[in-house]
Amino acid sequence: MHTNTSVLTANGVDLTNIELPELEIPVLTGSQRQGDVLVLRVTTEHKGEPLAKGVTVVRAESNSSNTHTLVGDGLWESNARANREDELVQGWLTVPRGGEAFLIHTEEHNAIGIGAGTYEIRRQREFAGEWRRVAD
Amino acid sequence: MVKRIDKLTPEQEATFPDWVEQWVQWGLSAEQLTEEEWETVEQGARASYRLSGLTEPQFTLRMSSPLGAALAPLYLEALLGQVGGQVGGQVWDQVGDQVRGQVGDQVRGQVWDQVGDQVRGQVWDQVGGQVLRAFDHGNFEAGFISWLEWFRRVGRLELGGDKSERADAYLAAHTAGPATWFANCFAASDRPAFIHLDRNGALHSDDGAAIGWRDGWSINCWHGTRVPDDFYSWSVERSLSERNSEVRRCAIERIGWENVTERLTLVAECDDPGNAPHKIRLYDLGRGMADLYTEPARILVVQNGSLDKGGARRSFGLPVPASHVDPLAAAADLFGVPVAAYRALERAS
Repeated sequence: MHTNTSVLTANGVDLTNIELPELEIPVLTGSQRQGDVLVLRVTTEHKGEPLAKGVTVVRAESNSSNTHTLVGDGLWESNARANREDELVQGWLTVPRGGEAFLIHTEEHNAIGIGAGTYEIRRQREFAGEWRRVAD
Repeated sequence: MVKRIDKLTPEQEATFPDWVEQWVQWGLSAEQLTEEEWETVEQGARASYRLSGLTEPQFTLRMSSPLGAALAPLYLEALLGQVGGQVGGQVWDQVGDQVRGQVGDQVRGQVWDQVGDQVRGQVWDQVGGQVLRAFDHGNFEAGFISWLEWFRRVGRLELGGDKSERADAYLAAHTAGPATWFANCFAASDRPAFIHLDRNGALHSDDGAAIGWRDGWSINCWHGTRVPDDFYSWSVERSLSERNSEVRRCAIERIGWENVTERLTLVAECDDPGNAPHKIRLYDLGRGMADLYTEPARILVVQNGSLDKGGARRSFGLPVPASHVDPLAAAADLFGVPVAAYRALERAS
């Protein structure tokens, strides 16, 4: 069984800002959402590099701590177009059979457990006269 | 040195990224000018007057902020009446600022468009047109200067005549911040004490001045839009009654759409997939706020799946195209995915 504590401490995240440290984190193979980041189950195939020490999928702006990081088992293929203002797809995560990956956040959002499969990681946008990515 | 450049070599083009970075830093520096730099500025200014066929000014003033540089000659004129005409245009035309270039445009975009323009706007608002033809933007002119300096230093272009001397004088005088040029008085500003930018490089602060100088003069900006001094303490009432629609939108964004929902009209609500028992709600802006965005918009309010530290559940309101009538479709649109994919979400945190 995984909890916020077990997932976050294994990855060196300070627990001071977590409201429910003992909340159980289910490992699911469907689509999930962590605030303004979508983990969308897809059927396409992707390669990539091991997550290793973690991959920051959305980096916080300087004066907020809203950073979303992928950790655990799996391969990460970043989207070469991810920096474009009109691009929402940050990259693709492939978790091997029997593997587990987690999308973690240092505060505000509980961890998300991700089981075997391939997932597209998307950011949120808003329509302020024209579409723009939601600033973190 | 070369007399003419018709085509850039790949090696020359490869210098662009570092060159851009270097000059953006130069233009957005918040380092206080040293005594040595002030002397460079003053020598450059005097040389600029000379090279423009003008007499060197009797007064060269070191001011802490662009407002100081704009006001000082006006006070001096009121006191002594010896400042003379506004000669800025006359001086700059000698170097010619009607040019553009790949490097210059990039630096200009990051320095002038994002910061310099706002600073000029604020000076204009406070001093009016009294220094219009005397005011220049100092190191915020980094775009033009970076372009000119690239051809001189990397392209090794020989400018001919005394153009090289003019370019040296122009660069030296623009090492300081914005300045005013009068026949008998040159007043330059120090660099700012701090500059806060958002992810897109626009002047921005969540809670106070986005750029400020050492005499306390500062400018408030919300993602690049200049906002009033007391903006950061505005209530919902004050925000909604703001007459300037752009400033009003900034104020509501600061407060959060989720906190003004009682002023909006609920269009529809539905269950938030993976986030029971919470709802997604779609609101209409109503007549009073229909002008907030350049295209018609509605507001979608979604709640977090997690509690923050302290046990509160945060909610977020985001604008969506006004064509949306179904909150679920609007939520899917925010991620650019089909409604069915969004409806299938197993968990939201």
